[in-house]
Amino acid sequence: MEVKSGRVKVYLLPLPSLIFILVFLLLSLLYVIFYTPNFLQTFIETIAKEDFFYVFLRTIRVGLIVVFGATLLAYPLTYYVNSSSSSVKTFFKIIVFLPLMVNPIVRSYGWIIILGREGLINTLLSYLNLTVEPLRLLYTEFAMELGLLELFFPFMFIPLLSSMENLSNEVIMAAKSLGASGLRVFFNIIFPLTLKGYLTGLTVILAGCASAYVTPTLLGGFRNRTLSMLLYEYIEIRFDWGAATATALVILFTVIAVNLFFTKLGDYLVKR
Amino acid sequence: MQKKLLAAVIVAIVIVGAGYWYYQTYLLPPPPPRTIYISHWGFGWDQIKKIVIEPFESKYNVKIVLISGTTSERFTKLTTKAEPVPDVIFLPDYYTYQAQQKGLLIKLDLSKISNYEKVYKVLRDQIPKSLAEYGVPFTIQDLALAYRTDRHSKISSWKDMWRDDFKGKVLMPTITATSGPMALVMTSLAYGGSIEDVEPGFKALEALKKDIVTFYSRSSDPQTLFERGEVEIAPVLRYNWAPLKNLSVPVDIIYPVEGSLYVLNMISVVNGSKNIDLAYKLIDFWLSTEIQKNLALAGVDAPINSEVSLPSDHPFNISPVFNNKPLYLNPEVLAKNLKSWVDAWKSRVEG
Repeated sequence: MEVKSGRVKVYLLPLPSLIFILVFLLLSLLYVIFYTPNFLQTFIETIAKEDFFYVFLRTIRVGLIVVFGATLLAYPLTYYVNSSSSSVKTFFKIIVFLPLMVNPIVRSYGWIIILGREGLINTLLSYLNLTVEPLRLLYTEFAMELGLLELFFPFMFIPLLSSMENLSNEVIMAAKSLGASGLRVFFNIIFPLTLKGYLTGLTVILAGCASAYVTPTLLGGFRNRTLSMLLYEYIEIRFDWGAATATALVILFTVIAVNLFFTKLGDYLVKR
Repeated sequence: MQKKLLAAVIVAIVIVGAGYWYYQTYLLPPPPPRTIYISHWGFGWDQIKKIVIEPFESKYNVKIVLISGTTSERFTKLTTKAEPVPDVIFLPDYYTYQAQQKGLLIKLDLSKISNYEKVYKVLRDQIPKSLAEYGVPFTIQDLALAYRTDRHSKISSWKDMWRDDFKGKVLMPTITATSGPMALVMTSLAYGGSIEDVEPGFKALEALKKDIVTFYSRSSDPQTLFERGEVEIAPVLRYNWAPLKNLSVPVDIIYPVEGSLYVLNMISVVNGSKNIDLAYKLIDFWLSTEIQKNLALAGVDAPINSEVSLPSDHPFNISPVFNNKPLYLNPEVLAKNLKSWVDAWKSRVEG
């Protein structure tokens, strides 16, 4: 009897968060769906637009490029940080988290100063006589990706670092003593054993890129719209609540699908 | 005895009356100020606050609260009745028209606005009948071209935006900015179209799109982008003229040879306002000769009060507008076409 009541109490633990999610996310979403007349038709019409398709593709492309950039930066850094002293670890954790502590508008204006036609990079290139005309760096997809990489890099760094911390150094030493090259050690040992952490970071970055608004707007401009910019446009500019709901659902389902896919992929690869 | 009693009563009445008057005048705390909400772009607000808001607040014992945002943001808030619902809203005429069509504005009794008669007759006569009693114009926004004079030779035509030396340096408004549809129609006029037929405009803009740096939506964007050297030519509205001329980089503003277009920005009273009396007073105050002149001298808005005279070289002297015979962009036509223009613009020009 005592065991049973203990179990009931355990089941009560997730209840507050469950209620929170159900009320504030799912119920409001369902309300908007039912509030929209002919929602199914509106949904199909919205996602069938050529314009929507290109924006969707851009959002995915930007997300994948940011993930790629984060991967290139995070693996060497976390490997180094993991094998360093605790003070070095603390130092890098602060450095990596610094962008998250800065207001997104200030952070984006920092990039504007660097990437502008008369910004740091163009001034340097011109000073070195490498360019005749300033390069167009701002209001491009590239600028948007740089801004998003800066914003979301910590979300790759932290799960990867905790995976690295669980990685036994003896396994790597053993592989090296048996003659494995650095690349082989990485692909056969480090990567598989940190895969779970990597996939967590990847999922969070893709989800973040799909829903970020301020950074893409300030650095990419209206021409390089992502799904979240399109969502804002439907609500605030076109006054089309049905299309806005459809876009919100596409963002939500994309994020859920990405999450499920990479979770399953991780499970599969780990079992292998 | 009776006379003494009467005198005592009169003295008592005088004393009580004087005491009451003294209490009312000097001792009674003033009634708390009423609050009215006004929806405005917020552009030049520091000057507007000094010239219009503070004098109005002290004159009528009222507190004015600003709800700021772009035209489309504020229009969305109005249609969704987002709190706080404004008492007075400032919009371009084609948005005023859409708000009127949705029943969001009250019908005005123009006889209550004594300064309305001072608005240029030519402007009053242009306003469609469906709109005339739902919004009062307070400034004119005509379209011109701004460009960097230190980096380019003189320009004269709207088509100069397509010139080789401006490649990759063009700034355009987004279609939902006040100047967006005006830029589309102006391009159409320059390339053989009309207000109704904007297809030539779309074709010309599609050819230009690779040279457009970005699209602006906020009133202050052109100044920021010119100042930072990001852009070197842009269609701009009159309220941008003074700030653009005061930048650290040399910018000139011209009327293209093809002519120009204008819209009127209007003040309206929102349906459901509990401060209609104050709203009328504010509109009248805003249209007065003194306020219109001070706003113009401060570089905020061009006056539409015909009694205001400004130096001939002042950017807000609107006499050249009439010399240039600009087309009035009929808000009914604009409102009717706006949705299809927005869709086409988003996929063909910005896409």
